[in-house]
Amino acid sequence: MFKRYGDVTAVAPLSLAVRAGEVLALVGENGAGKSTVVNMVGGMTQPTGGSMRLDGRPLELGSPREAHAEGIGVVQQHYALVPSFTVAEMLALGDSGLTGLDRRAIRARVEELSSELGMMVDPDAQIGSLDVAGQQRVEILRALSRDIRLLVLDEPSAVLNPEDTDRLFQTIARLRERGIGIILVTHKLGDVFRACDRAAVLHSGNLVADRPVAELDEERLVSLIIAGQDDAEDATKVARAVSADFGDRRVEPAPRSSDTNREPLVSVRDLALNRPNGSTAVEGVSFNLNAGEIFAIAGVDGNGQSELVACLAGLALPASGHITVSAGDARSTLDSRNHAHWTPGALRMAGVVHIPDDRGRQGIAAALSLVQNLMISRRPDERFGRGPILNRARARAQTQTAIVDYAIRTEGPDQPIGRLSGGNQQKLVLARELSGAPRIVLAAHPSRGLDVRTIAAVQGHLLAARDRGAAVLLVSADLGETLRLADRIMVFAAGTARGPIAAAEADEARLGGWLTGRAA
Amino acid sequence: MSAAAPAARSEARAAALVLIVGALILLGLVLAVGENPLTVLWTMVESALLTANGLADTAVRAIPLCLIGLGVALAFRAGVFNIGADGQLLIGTALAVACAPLLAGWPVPLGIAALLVAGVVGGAVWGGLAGVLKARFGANEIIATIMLNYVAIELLGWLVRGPLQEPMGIFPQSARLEEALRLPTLIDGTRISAGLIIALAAVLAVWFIVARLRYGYSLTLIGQNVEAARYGGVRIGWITVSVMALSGGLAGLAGIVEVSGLHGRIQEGFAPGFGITGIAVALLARLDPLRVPIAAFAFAALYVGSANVARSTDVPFPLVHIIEAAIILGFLAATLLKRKGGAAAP
Amino acid sequence: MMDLAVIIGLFASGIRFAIPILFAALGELVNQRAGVLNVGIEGIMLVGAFLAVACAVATGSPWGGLAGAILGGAALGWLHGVFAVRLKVDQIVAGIGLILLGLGLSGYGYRLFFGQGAPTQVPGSQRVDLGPLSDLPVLGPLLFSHHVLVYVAVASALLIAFVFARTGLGLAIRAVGESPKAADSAGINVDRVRMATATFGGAMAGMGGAFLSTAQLAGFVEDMVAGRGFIAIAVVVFARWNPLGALVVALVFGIAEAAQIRLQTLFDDVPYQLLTVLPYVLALVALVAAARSSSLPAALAKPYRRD
Repeated sequence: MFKRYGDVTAVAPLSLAVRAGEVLALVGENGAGKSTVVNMVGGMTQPTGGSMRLDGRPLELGSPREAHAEGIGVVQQHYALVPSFTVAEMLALGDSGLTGLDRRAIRARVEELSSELGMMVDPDAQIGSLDVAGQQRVEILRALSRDIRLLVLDEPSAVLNPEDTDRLFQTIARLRERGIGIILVTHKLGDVFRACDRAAVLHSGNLVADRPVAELDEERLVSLIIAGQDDAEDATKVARAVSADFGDRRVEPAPRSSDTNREPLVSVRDLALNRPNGSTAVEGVSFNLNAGEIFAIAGVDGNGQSELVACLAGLALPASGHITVSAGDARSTLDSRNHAHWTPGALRMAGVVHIPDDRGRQGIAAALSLVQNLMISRRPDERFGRGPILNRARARAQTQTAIVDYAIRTEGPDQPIGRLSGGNQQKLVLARELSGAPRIVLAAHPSRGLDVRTIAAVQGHLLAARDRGAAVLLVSADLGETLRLADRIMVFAAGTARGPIAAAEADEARLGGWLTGRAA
Repeated sequence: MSAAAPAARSEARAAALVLIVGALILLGLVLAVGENPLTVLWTMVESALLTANGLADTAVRAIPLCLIGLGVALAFRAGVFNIGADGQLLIGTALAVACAPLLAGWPVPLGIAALLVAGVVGGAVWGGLAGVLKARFGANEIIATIMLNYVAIELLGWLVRGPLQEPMGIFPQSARLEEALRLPTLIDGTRISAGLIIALAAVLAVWFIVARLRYGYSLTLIGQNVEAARYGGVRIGWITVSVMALSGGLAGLAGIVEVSGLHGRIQEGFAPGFGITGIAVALLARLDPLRVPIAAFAFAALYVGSANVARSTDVPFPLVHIIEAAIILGFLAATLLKRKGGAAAP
Repeated sequence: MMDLAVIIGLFASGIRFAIPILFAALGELVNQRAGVLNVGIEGIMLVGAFLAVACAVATGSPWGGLAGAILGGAALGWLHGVFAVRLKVDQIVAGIGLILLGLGLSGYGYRLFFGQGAPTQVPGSQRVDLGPLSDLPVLGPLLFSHHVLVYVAVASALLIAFVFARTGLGLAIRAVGESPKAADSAGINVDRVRMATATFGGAMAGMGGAFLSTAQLAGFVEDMVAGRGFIAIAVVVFARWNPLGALVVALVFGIAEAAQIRLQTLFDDVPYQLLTVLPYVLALVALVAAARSSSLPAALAKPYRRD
């Protein structure tokens, strides 16, 4: 029913077919090319070459709108919803022309569709008040508001708790019964075996496998995803590589110094965190962050990790509970209950540094030079001038040093940082935050979206900071990275925090159970 | 990236079109009065720049525009749109004039210095008030400063008919400042006062703030990315209030320099449209303090030239505002021309 | 002292004072709901006020004047749209340019057409005569004997409220201002909607100016708008981007202005300037009271580019 050939640098030429009433899993590591395929199918980007056909008809998709009109619905990972709209209004948007709305008809349509699919959706609910699962249901309804033949779901289960995931799969089953072809993009192996008929595996832009799920087992699928092959003769090699990645720690655990029973640098007590829309992201978070350790928060994005980092950085306040940060000398302790003093400036002066997850929004000012970007963060040592006058010579010298030490590819320290690649921007952020001797490092997805070489460098710098005695809080969605770097691990999933446990005791099965929110 | 480049190119094409259309409209406006645009242009240039008197008039007008432009540039750098320099100027001047009787008999440099300080303080309070409304309550500073302008205008109207009125009580104006409180004339035979030196000193001071101080860096950072500034530990609220106070203080200084150096007394409408022209000055200078005096001189020449054009031809004076608007809008369009190719950061 | 006639007079003139602000505020409100912030409507109102007089004199009809003001206002609103939506430059700076442009064009045009002399006789503006309704004792003078544009303004507020709540067009405008990405994915041309609202906002501001110079006063004076364009923006904020709210808030401002004029005659020992500032101080209070509203369109003043 559906074929396409892509020829983009991100994705090598490949052919895929989805039959009516079939669920195809599209799996692969981050950066393997899954989203590029989704974007081409959904009309968000145009392939450089090749062709697509739907029900035998050739397709030229100039926009998502055209794709939808042709019968392809896409539910993106990041929803495109209007928070102030009701569900009914959201479905009417763009479809009802510019004239009057027949609210009753729209409402009836919503109710009909949602009961047909076994989804509970209140047509009068405001989008912004819905939880993630509810918003996802609205996006699915939106995709189904036209008579579609193919539905693409991009990481639909990533943000859902187990119950909602079950409901989602029920919905998928009903859609399959109706003869709709489905592409399910996922990184959860469980999804593949639960809900899919076939699996297509992408590895660095190449389609390395496309076969029925019945012919696969978990081990083979993992080696395909990670190594791009599952040949019998290579199986042992792959297995070893996998275990090296996930099991054996290549990194020495933090040296246990004699002063472990000193006061923790950061203490978090019974924290509850709200998302920007007011819903509770996670509650009951308590832990201590000690000097000389990497403490990792694992879990799928959107479970409160970024809210936790924002609170620790002084950019937000917790919904309840409190945080204390020891400010170096015994005299003062910063407490989040004292709102007036819980500011980014005060925390930074207490030795907190912050590698932000949204670099473009917080970490850099794109139009300013590398030198000016190096000066963004206040530091207790006031390295760029103790008084009101800036020490520009030192800022320039340190930028030069950072360019060399962190191998930043740039025309020079005066180049606007916006002209650099994302990886090189991230290296400057790291150089800025990690130089000197920070006491507390907040690292939110420090290696996300970077190439392998840069990732190794980033991880090396974090370990070096730990070995110098810093307390490092690492937030990462990459379990491999977490297991490689962390001394202790905590998991945020399904609204609760589990752990922490020592990394030595953490195995994939246990963490996996926590991550899916199932095991206690 | 590949999608951004053509978009940027088409934006640049549209910007070029805007520039050409703008120039044609200006031409058409002059032609509509039946005047030769070249003659008008020549009259403007000659009367403002090529005669000794014209040049002196231009310099006199440039002094307040430079001071106001500096203040506007400081605030705009931090993304704080202070368009209320007029009100800050009036309040600063009024406060200084009100203080003048207290300064009678002070030694010469001290008395004038105190007078100028009073002007700065008055302007800073009026500007800082808008800053507090923005930082504390999130009130839009554009509307707040404009509203404070109207309040200041009415206040001045009352003052020059009430508490500050000249002793005879006839005209709506203040008494003359005593001679000791007048800024000396800098060049004999002209009206150029020592205010010129004050303005140039202010240029250096503001440049120092912007280029050398942590404070100036914080302003730039807030203007470029307020989230990054907050993340880095900059206190946004404090900067908002203080930069509005600085900006207002410079406007107040402009006003009292104008009164002490030129008019000798305060009356209604003594600084017509200075504030909004100061915005044009700051924008033309690309918010760079070292370019502000040049831009101030250019706009002063435009004013003096336009006034002469209005006297000697049928072209009405408000042409000056149209040219100012054309410069601001043209400036916006021109930045797009430079941005073509899509290389600029998002 | 305050008998019924005084109160009726106060409210009736309050309604008249409210109308220019209401027109401008409604236009700005629709514009802002689509995500475009035009701080230059003061300039557009000035041009509207001038064109209304010039075109009324030229055509000999107040309707010709109104048409000229609407067209001129729409043209300036469109111009702001070109900068804000099409070129995606700083909307505030473009708005500041518009303030100056309006000041210059209206002053230039006025001196061009009328010289320095006294204002020419402007073709009169009629009040509607609703027959028996206009003759009602209290309600007649209060509600049923205004200029026809008064009813147009009130109807506009109701119509805009209806469009927002009940039509696809309203959904499109709100989506574009709240989440342009979502609107785009629903097939709505974000820039086209915003150009349309920018032009509409200009036309409404032009109408507000026209009412000022041909219905409320009879003639054009330079800088006659006197900050009403900015007050209109404050009205939008205080009304929390709700058209019916704007109707009420604009009325409050109109009554405040009518009241301060009456108070001047009532208390002639109080300096009149201290009463004249009443609407401006009220605008400041409104800004402070309404600030940080959650109704603020999320994409206000943010140009939209596809990633």
